Amino acid sequence: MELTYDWKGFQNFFYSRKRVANSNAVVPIYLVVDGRAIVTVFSDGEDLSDWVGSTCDELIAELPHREVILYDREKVDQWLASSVDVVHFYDQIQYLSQEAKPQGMSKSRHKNALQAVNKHFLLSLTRGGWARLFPSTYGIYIRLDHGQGNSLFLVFQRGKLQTFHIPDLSGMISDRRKNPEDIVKFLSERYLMPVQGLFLNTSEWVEWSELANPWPKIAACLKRHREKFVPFRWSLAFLITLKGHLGL
Amino acid sequence: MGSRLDELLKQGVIQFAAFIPWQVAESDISHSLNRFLQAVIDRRMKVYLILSPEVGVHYPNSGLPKDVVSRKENSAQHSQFGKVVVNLPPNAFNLPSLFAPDFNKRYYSFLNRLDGILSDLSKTQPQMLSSVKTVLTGSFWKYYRSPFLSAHSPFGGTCGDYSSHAALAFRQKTESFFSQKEFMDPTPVAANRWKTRSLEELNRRWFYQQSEDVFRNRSYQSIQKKSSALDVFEFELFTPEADTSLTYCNFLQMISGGHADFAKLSSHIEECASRVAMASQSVASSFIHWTSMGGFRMLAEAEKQFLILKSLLLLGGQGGGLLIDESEWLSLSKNFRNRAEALARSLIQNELQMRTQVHYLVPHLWSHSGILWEELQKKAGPQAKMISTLDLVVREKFSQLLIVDPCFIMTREAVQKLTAWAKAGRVVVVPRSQFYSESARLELEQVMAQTKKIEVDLGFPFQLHAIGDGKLVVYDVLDQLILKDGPLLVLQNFINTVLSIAEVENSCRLGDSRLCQVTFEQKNHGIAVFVLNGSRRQVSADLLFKHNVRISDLGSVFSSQSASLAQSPPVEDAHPPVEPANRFSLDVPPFGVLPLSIEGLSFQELREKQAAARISEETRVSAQLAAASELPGLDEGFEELWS
Repeated sequence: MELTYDWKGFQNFFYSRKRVANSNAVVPIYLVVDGRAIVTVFSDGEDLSDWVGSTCDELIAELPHREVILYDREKVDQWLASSVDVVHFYDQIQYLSQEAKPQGMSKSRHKNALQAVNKHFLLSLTRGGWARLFPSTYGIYIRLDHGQGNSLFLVFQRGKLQTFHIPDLSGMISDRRKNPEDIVKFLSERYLMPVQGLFLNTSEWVEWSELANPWPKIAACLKRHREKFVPFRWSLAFLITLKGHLGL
Repeated sequence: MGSRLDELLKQGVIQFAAFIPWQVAESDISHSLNRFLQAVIDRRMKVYLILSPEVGVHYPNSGLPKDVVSRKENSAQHSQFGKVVVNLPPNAFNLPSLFAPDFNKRYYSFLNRLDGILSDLSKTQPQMLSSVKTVLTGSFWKYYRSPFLSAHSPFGGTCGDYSSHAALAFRQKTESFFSQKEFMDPTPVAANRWKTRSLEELNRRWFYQQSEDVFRNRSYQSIQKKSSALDVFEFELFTPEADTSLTYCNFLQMISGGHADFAKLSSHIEECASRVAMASQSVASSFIHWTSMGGFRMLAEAEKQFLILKSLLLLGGQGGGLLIDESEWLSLSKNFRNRAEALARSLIQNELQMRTQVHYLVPHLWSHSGILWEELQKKAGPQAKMISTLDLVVREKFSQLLIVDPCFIMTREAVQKLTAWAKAGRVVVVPRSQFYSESARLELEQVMAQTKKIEVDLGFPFQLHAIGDGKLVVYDVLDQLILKDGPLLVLQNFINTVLSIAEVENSCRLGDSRLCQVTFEQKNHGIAVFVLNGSRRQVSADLLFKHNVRISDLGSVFSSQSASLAQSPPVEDAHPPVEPANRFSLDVPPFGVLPLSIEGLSFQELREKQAAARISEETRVSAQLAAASELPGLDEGFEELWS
C-alpha cells in the first residue's frame, strides 16, 4: 500500500536531526502568553515549566540574558485552526512559520531565532526562485545505498510539494529494480512526469543535509560521480555548478 | 507486506499491534486486510488489530474518512468552543465529534464490515483465532480538551465535546437521567434542582462519562456480532505526542525548529497512569503509544529509554504497557531492548506486582478533579488511581481507601455499594455535599445513625464512623473544594489523616523531589523499588525507610545505567546486599532508572488482614445470594440478620 504522505519516510530524509543529550547551547525561550501570563514555555532542551502561570515580565526580569519570544494565545489558536486547511504536515509547518509572527520579544535578535526552522537544501531549492526554471510538475526520486537504505519519491507541482511516499516498485522485473535508469523510467511513465533520480550514499546525504550550504559539495560530487544523478541533465548540472561555485 | 513481516521475524518480533485505518478498510477493494492477515497467519505471528479511531495513526487524518473529517458540522469543540486540533503528522486535522450522527453511522457500519471480514476469515482459517486479536480503545473522548486549560495541568478544565450535536445529546440525556425515580423523590419537582444552569458543568461530566461508556459498549457489541470467537481486548490508548495539553508546546517546537519537550512528555505518563478506565467488559488496560512521527523520535537516546522504562513501569505494572513503532524500537541498543523485555516479562509473569491501595472516584475521568485529587496524588504517588465507576473499585482486591470526589452524584445504590465495600475492612471517604439524591441522603444518614462516630475538625471538619470491619469518613464540602482550589495546608492534613486511618503508607521515601519512585511487591519476597531520575543532571539523594532493611541491586531483572548505589559510608561494589540500615545514599544518573530489591519489609500481616476481610465480604454476599434464591421475598433486613 502506497501512502500519499509517507511522513515516516519523509522525516528520515529531511528531519533526521536528533537531540544531543546535555547540550549546553543557550537557545531562545518561546512563550505562549494570555495577556502577560505565561500559558506555555518552551526552550529546546530545558525544562522551564515552573514558569507557567507567572508573567512574562517576571521571566524576562529573572533571565535578562536570554532572548524571549512571545506569541499571543488567541493568535496561536487562530493559526493552528487555519493550518488544518493545508493538506500535509510539511506545508502546515511552512504555513505556521510564515504566519506566526511574534507579538513581542525581549531583544531585537528574534530574526536569528526564527531562522532555526528546519530548511533542507533540497526543499529550499524547490521553493525558491529556481523553482521557476523547473517543470510545472516533476518528481524527485532519492535512493540511498543502492536500495539497501531508504528511498523516497517526491512530487512537486508549481513549486509546492504535493506528495511524498516510498514508491511501489513491485511492478518492475526484479533485475530492473537494481538499475537506476530503469527505475527512473518506470516512475516517469507511471506518474506521467519528468523524474530526477538521486542515487546516493547515506553518508553523503546526511552530510549534505547538515550543511548550511552543501552546494559546493554537491557540485563536486556531480563532477566526480555523474552516475548518481539519473538522468544526467546538462541544464541541471549547469544550475548546480552555478549554485555550488558562484552561490547563486 | 510479506517481506516487511519477514524482516520483523528476523529481528525476533513475533507479535505486534497494527492500526486499521478506517479510510483504507472502507475502500479496501484489493482485500489488503485479508492478505495481511493471511501473511501473519502463514508466519505464525500474532497481531493485535486496533480498530477504534485513534490519533497517531500513520495515515492522513489518522485514518479517518476524509469526507467525515472535512465536514465542518462534524467537528468537535472543546469547552472554550474552539476546534480540537490534533497536531501530529502526516497532517494536523480537527477531531470529529463522536456525537455527530454522520460519524457514528459510518463508524458502526465500518465495525460491522470488519466483523464480517474477521468472521469469514475465522471460518475458513480456524488457526486465525490464535493469531489475530482485536483491540478496541477509548478513542477520542479524552482529547476533547482546551489547549489553554490543559497547558498547565494535562487534564485541566472540563473535557468534553461542546459541539451542537453534543449539546443536543446532552439535553436529551439530562432529561432522561433526572426523570429516574431516584431524583424525583419526594416529589417530581425535586428533579428540577438537578437541571439548573449552575449544575451544567457538573452534569456535563457524568454525561461525557456515560456517553463514553455507551460508545465502548456499542463498539464491543458491533465487533462481536459475527466473530464472537475472536478475542477482543479493550485498551485505553494514550498518545502523548498528540495530546491537547501539548498543542502549544508542539507549536513552539515547530516554530523554533527545536525538539520535543521531554519534561512534559515524562509528566504526561504519570497523568495517564493515574487514570483507570472501565471498558465494556473489564478494566481497560492502559497503554502509551510512542509514535515515530512526533517529538519522541527527535529525543536523545537516553531520554527515549527513560520514557520507555517509565511507561513500562507505570502502565505495564497495571496490566497495560506501551506501543512503539518498530523502527524506533529496533533503533535502540540491543542491551537496552533485552533489559526492557526482561522487565516486561517480570510484569507479565507477576514477578513484580503493583498494588493500588487508594482510589479516587470522580464523575469524569478526563476532566479536572480539583485540589483534593492533586494532593492525594502528590502524597500517595503511583499507588493512587482515579476511577469513574464504582464497579471498578469493587473488583479491586488490594485497595484500602476510596475517596469520593465532592462533585460525584451520590445515589442510593452508590451509598449502599460504598458502605458494603467499607465493611470489609476498608476506608471510604464520602463528601457531605448537595449532590445526593434524597434517597441517598436518607441512606447515608441511616448508616451514620447506626454507627459510632468521632467528630474531627482540624480546619477541615469530618466525621469518622466505624462500619463493620472498616471505616466511613464523611467530610464537609467547603465551597472552595468544588471544582476550584482550596486551602492547601488544611487539605494536606486531611489527606494525611485519611491515609493514616486507612494504614496506607509509602514503604520508603526519597530525599529529593526530582526523583520519583515506583514500588512493586516481588512474588517471592520483599519489594522492588525503581528510582527514576528524569532530570538532565545526576541526583544524589537519600532513600529512607522506617525500619532497617537490606537492599540490593535488582540487576537480574533490569540493569541500570551505570548508577552507583551506596550506603553511608559509600560501598564500592553495588551488587551484593549491603548491611541493613534505614537510610541509603543513592547517585542516580541523568535519565537513570535505578532498580533496587528491598528485603525486610513485610506485607504479610496487611495482606492477611485484607484477605480475611475479603473472604468475610464474599461469604456475606454468597450467603445473601443463596438465601435470596431459596427464600423468595427475602430482601429487607437481611443485612442486620447476617450481622
